[in-house]
Amino acid sequence: MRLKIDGQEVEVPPGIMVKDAAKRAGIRIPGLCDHPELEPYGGCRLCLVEIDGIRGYPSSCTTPVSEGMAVRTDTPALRNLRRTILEMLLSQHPCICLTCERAGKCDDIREAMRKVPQSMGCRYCPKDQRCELQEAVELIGLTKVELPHLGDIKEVVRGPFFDRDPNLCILCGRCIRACEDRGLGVISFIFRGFDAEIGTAYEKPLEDSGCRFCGACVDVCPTGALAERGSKWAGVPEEMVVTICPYCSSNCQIGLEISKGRMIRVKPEESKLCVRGRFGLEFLGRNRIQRPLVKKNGRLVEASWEDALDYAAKELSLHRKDRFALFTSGILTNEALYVAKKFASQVMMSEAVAPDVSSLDSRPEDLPGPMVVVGDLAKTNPATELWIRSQKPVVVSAFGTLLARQAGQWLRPNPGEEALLLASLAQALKGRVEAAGSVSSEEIGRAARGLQGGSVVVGPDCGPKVRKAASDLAKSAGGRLCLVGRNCNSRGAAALGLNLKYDQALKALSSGGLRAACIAGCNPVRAQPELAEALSGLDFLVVQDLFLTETARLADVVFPAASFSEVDGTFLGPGGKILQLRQATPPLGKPDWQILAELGRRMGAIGFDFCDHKAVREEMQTLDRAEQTDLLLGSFEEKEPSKGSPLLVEGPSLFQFGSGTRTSRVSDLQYLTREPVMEINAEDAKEMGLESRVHGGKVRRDV
Amino acid sequence: MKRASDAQALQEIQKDAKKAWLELLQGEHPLICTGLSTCGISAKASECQLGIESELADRGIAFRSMKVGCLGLCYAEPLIYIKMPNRPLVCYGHLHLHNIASLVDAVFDNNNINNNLTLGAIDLPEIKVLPVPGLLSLWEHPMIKPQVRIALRNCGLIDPEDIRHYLAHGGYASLAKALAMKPEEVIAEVKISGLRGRGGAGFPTGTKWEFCRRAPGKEKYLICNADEGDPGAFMDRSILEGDPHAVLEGMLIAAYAIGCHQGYIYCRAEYPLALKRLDIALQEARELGLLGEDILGSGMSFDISIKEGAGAFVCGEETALMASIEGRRGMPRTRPPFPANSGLWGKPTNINNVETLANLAQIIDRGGKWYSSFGVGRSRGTKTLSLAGAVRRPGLIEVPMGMTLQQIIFEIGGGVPGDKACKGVLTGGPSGGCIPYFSLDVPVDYESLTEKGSIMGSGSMIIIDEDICIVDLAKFFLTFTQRESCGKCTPCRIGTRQMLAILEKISEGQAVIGDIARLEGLANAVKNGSLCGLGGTAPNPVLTALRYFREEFEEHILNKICPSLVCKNLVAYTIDPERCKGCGLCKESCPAGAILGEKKAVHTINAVACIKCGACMAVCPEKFKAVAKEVARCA
Amino acid sequence: MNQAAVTIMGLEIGIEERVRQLLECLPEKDGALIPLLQRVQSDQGFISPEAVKAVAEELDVSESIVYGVATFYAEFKLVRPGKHHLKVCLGTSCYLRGGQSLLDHFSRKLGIRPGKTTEDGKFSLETVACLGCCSRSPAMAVDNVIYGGVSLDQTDSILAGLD
Repeated sequence: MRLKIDGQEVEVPPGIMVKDAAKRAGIRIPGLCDHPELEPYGGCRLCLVEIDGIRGYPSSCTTPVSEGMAVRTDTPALRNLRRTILEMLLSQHPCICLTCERAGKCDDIREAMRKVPQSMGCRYCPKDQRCELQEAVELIGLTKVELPHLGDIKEVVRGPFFDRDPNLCILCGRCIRACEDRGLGVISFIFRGFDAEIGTAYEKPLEDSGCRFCGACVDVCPTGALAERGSKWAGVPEEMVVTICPYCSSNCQIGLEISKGRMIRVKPEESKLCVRGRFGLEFLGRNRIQRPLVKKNGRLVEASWEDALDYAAKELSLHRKDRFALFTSGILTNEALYVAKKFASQVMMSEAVAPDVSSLDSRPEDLPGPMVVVGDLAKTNPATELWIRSQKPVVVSAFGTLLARQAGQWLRPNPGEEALLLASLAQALKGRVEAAGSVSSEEIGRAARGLQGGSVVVGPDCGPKVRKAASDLAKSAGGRLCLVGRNCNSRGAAALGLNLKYDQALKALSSGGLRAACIAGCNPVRAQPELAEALSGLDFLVVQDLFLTETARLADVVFPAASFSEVDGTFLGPGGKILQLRQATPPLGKPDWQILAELGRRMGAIGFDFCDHKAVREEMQTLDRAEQTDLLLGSFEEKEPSKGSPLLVEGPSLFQFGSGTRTSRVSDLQYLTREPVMEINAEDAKEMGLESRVHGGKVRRDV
Repeated sequence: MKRASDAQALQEIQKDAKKAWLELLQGEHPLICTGLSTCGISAKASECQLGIESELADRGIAFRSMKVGCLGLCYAEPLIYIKMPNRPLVCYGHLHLHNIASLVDAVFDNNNINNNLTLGAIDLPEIKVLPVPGLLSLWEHPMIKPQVRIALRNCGLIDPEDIRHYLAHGGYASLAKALAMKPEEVIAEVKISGLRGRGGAGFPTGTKWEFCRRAPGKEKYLICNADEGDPGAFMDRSILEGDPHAVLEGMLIAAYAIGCHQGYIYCRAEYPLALKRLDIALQEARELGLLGEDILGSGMSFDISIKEGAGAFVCGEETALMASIEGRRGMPRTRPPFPANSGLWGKPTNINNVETLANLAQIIDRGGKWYSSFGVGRSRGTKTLSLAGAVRRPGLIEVPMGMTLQQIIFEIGGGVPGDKACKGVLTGGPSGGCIPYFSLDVPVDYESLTEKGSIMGSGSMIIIDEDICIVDLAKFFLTFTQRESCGKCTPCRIGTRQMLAILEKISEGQAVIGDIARLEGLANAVKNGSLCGLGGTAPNPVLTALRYFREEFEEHILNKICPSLVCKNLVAYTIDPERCKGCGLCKESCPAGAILGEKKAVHTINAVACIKCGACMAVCPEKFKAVAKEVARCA
Repeated sequence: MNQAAVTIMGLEIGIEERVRQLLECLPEKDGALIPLLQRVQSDQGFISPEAVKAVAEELDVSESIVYGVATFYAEFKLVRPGKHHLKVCLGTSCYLRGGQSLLDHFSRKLGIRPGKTTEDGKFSLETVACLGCCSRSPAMAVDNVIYGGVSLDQTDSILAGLD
């Protein structure tokens, strides 16, 4: 499509807006309410242009291009109009720095001025030099604001992770659209006209308004109105390193903003992050162990790497074969998992195991046809869930999860009867439509109708019974089964077959069959406190981790590991795609693969002298991946609930990941999980003598 | 009543309705018709009706009664028409609980139907009686004579809560006629009529329909905009209260032409009576089969639901209105996409105003050419106008486009009451402007009013006299628009507030002369920069005030004088010692305790304590007139 | 809950239940938010925080969105109004013909600013954009009965007629 902008011939694809077309032609039009990832809005009115044949001054961010259009972006009338409108905005925005004669000479007092609760000018604003309003002022060439400031100064609202300063808000509505884009609507415009603000009902805190703290609002805010608190004054980053989020298996790409060797902020990189990726990586520098620890007289004391490695190698060599197991998990890189497996099998003549279950070759986004989804993906895999939600799938959930409430169809079995329901769906596909528990045959019939050739997605919070039933259903439908992994590299762990003997190894540990173990990248004592006894009973325990975890405290040797941002390496993405992790900050420990390789070398094994992670990769690529789906289902045993007694279903949490080893080190995440919540049916509650109307009663759970 | 299963059946039903109507008019008992629109009710029409009825009951006179909508002679309300057997139907006005007994005496006891309360005889073709000497036809009344009533054809003449009355006047025949035409032919007829949107923007109705008809998609919506937001306009209310079926029939014709199956009437909640009558009308139409499936056997199906507005002026804007129907904040959005392509729930949508729709049945019945024979230039047909403010005969009128303001104000409205001079007329409400006394020769049509810096708007005309301060008026309108701004776009949200701040400074005598230029600068930015029509027209009252009455602004700024003695900060209240008799009424009424003086002694006002509420002036007995308002020297 | 509880036919029911009933009575479920809030208001007299919560839950939208809509439209009252509503019309015609004085007068008489309720909970004073009664200015509505051509000396009798 061809059009003329300021006399310049431009060829652009149809459907884009005039403002974007101008950008492609290298013509900058100011604008504050538009954002490439959000719906057009047309509220700030700074991007007005003149277009032949269109009356007045249309906003270029909302006007689509058309063939032969003639656009003028810079006329005296437009300049005048933009200047006046920008002046209006600035009359409601602290802007003393704009006209201050000492501008740029205030570095000395800046730190002190920042302690003032309200930003008075750009130099005292967390967004200084990253602010789009500043850019607009520059572009429009405004040098003074003559309009008086009207209205009251408002209080800064503090909340988890970020602060909101309404005085800096220009009501562009980007944050609201970003929140809508996530299907939430936690914030809204409230009141109207000059009194309009952005907020929640009755100014309730965000945590009580359904906020998931994904930070999408912060990322799109053009001014300092929404600013991360952790790095509020960290300023402009020196560099940004693109890597992969170390939490769930959605494998979101993230950009780590680095300043002075420290990570100051995390930004989405063509991804939609959740709270964990966006704000949950603060743990990187907190309370890390930086030197190996060795147990002497029952106490862990610091030791040199050489001594610790030598000691561990010597002790481990006493416990080979079935007296040993290596426990790890899919949070480690392929390289670490590979070396762990190699170390366990070739040095220890034993097994490396991980609990990760995952499909290898698919992710929900690539699945064909209609979908049935089980599991609370909004909590376990938010980015994946966001995409699934847009597909309006059939959702099987006993609880009103976010996905269930926005599903195409929500099948609601009784808790614990999910597998039964999936089996009924499979039956229905074969023509036998029957009710299943609380779900009527009509509902099942309706769900089954469109399911032929469809896929079944199972979240990592589902047990083996559900996985098995889902697998059968996928077979009946002639479609695919997608087991969503729990960890960032669950796929890598599953590909190495680490889950095959997990149950066996765990049983050996609990029954006292093991004498020694290595634990890398997991914290079993936090996840299953009952394992503490078995682990304490071992003759020798090596733990490598970032922190002195509950498990590490029981170890004989603890090695400080390097975190995901401190290593180069890879995760296994869907379809065998290799996802690159890039080192962004100087390591505080050693990469997990390196610790194990050094142990192997010390124990006299050959094939452990990798010079870097690439060498590990190369060796891996020559090996085959495990592919049998049935094996991937895992074989973990599930306890049968005793009949008659209430069933306690433990659900995942958005604000805590896995055992919480990492997330509990992020103060605001910990704040958000400070009170575990239990839900109980109102009728059951009445029967048990609990008043159904009384909220906030405490329940004790005996473990 | 049986259902109108096809055009034939409809004709039968109409015939029956006509018969009943004639019986009503020609019956042997007196007929009492009461104007029971909101305006009539606020003037105690119901009480008067009850009063007359009890007078008749006391006399043992049998009678029939009927309610009608507003005839438009609001200045004379309450209005009651009485038809004695074999006598004309006579309209009486200015009724009061005090004078109804004498009216009953005159009419029923003395057979004096032409008395001091008589406004005229309502001559209807179906009333065939001997003329009464001296009794003028109401159609010769100066307020009615210059009118051409098309949209208002039935208002004040039929019972709005009885569909038979509408049917008796040819109601729904145009629908039957339209259904026999092709939708394209209906659109063509409307195009020929030259009908343009009566809500204010004046977009050609036929063209608008065509866009929507041609938009791809099966599901399309029709919305009747009855959110009469202009504070000062009441023509939509009068039509809905007086002749709701005219609007429904218009909607049916529009729906057929465009191809819609679902319609909405978005009506403001401040109009409870209109809502009630609409609801009744919808039920009646459904019972007759005029709404629902297979209307008149044509295969067309269409139904209408009512959506109540919740008090937001901006919801008169099409995109905001649709957001409101969808249950969201009424914040307008930019176009494209246009509602005709993507409107309500993202489907093609056509929105017409009440008055536009009320014209349609007549256009189909009598032809587009007939309709376009009224009017001037590109403004064809008639326009309903609401007259209010400083005018002798406020009320509702309908005149051919092109009539001058002069004629409207002085011939129809009777001029300005008292010995005051007309200062100008406000057209288009908060989106329009003030047309000054020296430009009253301007014809009322879309183009001419726009040329004068105002707009036609929905048709409200508020006449102002010399007592009105133009700065105060501009401030009033801007207070309104900035309060009604949705807050989405910068110019409207902040610009109107900044303009208001300057106007406040001017009215307080605190402004400097440069503030006028600043005000104009802001006004132009708000006008050209705003997202929707609310912001785009909000500066009009200020801009026209500056265009025609600039010296009054300068007077406020340079000399700190409010020539009309309205701006509180620039006036002072004083007590004339010669006239004050020391009665103490003013002292008693003063809420600020600013009046000093003993009983029987001359009182004085403490200027520092005075809050300029004017209470003292209001209570000072007419015979003393001791309290005066004068120009204050501003500190 | 006490404050929000309502009694229907001798049965004490919670606001959640009442909102559910009101929703069921709505003829259309599309765009139900505004009509539902209107019904809640006419049922309860105003829209309480509990009602906002119940409406949000019933329609499965966030409370913020409900609150955003409730604060956008002038019709919705978020605090309990007085027993009698005085609405003084400040349409153009009424303003120019003494509506403001009428408002000021009531304001002084009742000792409250427009938009507020007297301490005894008896009167609420409000302004209204237009009652459509411009030909009989100044107009006002008292408990939805419209009075036209109201003069200052009528105000006392209007107030006196309300218990």
